[in-house]
Amino acid sequence: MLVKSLFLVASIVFLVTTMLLAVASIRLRRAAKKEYDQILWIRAQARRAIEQIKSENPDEIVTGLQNLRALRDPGVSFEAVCQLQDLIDSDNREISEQANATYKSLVRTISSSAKGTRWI
Amino acid sequence: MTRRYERANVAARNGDLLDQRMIGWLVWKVMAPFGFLMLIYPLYRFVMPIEGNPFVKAFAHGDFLIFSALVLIEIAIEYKHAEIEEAQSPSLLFNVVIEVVRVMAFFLIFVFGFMKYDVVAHENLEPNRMVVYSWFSCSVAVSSVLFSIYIFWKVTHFKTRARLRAAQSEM
Repeated sequence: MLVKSLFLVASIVFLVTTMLLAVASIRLRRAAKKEYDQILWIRAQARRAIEQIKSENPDEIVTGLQNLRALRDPGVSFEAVCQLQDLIDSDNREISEQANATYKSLVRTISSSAKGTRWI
Repeated sequence: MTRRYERANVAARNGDLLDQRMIGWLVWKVMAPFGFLMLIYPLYRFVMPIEGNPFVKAFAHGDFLIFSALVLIEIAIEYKHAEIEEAQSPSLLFNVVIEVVRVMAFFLIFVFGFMKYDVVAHENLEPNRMVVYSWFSCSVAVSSVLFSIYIFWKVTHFKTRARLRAAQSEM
């Protein structure tokens, strides 16, 4: 009788734990999704900045470079680094300086993401 | 240096919400074995009917307890791995919970031995006791599956939080 009661109580405890875990999982999923949406927004803005640096208009290029420095997405940073070499060698001094600063910032972003986290 | 950049390259290209390794773990180490063990009941009930209560025959032996013990040990290992990998500051309370879960996993193996002995050694065991054993097995299994889902989302949350923090650090 004692063994049966013990097992019965333990079953109830486990079932209650299951329900609590289900609620906690749903909350965590929502939080992760919300943060992921923010990451997607940052990535979209960074992609827009890449489009800006491909432009012919110097003002737009400078804006794009500044945006890229502000939006530190490792994935987009990788794409942008490849585009920056031509801008660093540009005859326009402002663009060249901005591109150089952006390059350094993006390399920092990429190396810090490689050291601290693994996005697989 | 090259290795770090290779790693960063992979990292940069795979910025998805869900961790593929964790998905593999959840599907192939938790859900699939749980599903197959659960299949025993409908098999006993509909495909190859056996004498007595099929629910009891399927679950009273406590096979689910061994499954749960393994899943709980895996949970402890995966959580610790993710905590270090994602450079998370360790939460003392949750680490205590993880250690308790690890100890509970070994205790479940002991309970499995007790249940198995009780069911096998006493052929005319009280039917109600067998039903309670079956319910216990199932509740422990469902609970460990839910705990693994919880850990899955916790690790996912680690990743999104770390990435968002990295993106916002200089904004």
